[in-house]
Amino acid sequence: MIVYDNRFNTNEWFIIGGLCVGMALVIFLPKRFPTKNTIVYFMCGVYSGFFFDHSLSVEPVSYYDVNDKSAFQFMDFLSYLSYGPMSYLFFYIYDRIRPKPSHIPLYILIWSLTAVGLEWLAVRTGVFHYLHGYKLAYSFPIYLIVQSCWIAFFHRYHNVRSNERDEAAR
Amino acid sequence: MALAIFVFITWCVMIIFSLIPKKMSELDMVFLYFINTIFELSIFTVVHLNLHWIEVNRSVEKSMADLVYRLIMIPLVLIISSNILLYPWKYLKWAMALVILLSLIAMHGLEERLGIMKTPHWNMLQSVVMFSGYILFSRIMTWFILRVDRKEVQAP
Repeated sequence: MIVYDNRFNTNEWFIIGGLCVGMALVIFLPKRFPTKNTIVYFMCGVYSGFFFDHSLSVEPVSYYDVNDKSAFQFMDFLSYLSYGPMSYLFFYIYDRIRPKPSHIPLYILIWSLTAVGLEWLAVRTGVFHYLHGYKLAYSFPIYLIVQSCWIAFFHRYHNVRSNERDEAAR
Repeated sequence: MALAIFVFITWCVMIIFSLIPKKMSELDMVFLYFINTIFELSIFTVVHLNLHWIEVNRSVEKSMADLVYRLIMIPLVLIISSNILLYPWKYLKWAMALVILLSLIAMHGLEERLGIMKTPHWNMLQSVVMFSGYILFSRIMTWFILRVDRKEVQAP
């Protein structure tokens, strides 16, 4: 097990601060979706964080460690949880501005660059420790793919809801 | 070979999932898929990385087979079990839940036989407790998400 640090310092404060700000936005922004949708949109981010961190940072090659130790800690769980407000805000703003289909790639690009910026900050504060030649640039296409999937998911679910409404009207 | 076997079994699970009558909406099942994956991965990571009760093979093929098992198959099986536990049958649904539990334990055994993982500090009882815990957690989350729905319907 690799130990990077044993103190409660910048990486922990970065995660707690980010989570508090994110949760405050989720709670205090005007309600836009039904509760169930809000939960699922929040979980999209947490799931994506878990999915990629548990496929890229475990065997066969662990490309990065999270927080103070290579073992799983409670602070790691909080760091995955902090992806939740990101995905919620992604869906919230998307639904608010409803970009034209031709503008969707631009919307995804802006969010992916924001995510890369936040990851850069996380690396600087010691949340992520890259291993085996992994670079921040490699995360960029992952964000593009994940957020494209989120958009597809949003439209898919929106269509399901519309169909259910149409069936109920009939 | 291990990867092909696990992909084949996962595909069969997907076929079963697509064929069984669903008792939940699509969104409920998406929620369950997310939450079950997160719960199961967290438990596995603690058991694997922190306690070292389980060791996963570091070869690309075998660790990919393990990822297919953990990221796709187990969450899908748990959604199937949650759907079955919502059926109006009295005893049959529990019998089917037991079959699912035994299947998960058998898959765990298959992982060992194929050399995907080693279990130096593990026994059958721990597998029973772990997979029963997954099924119970999935059932509680089903209850939660269906309750959210009911509240929303009652609210207006």
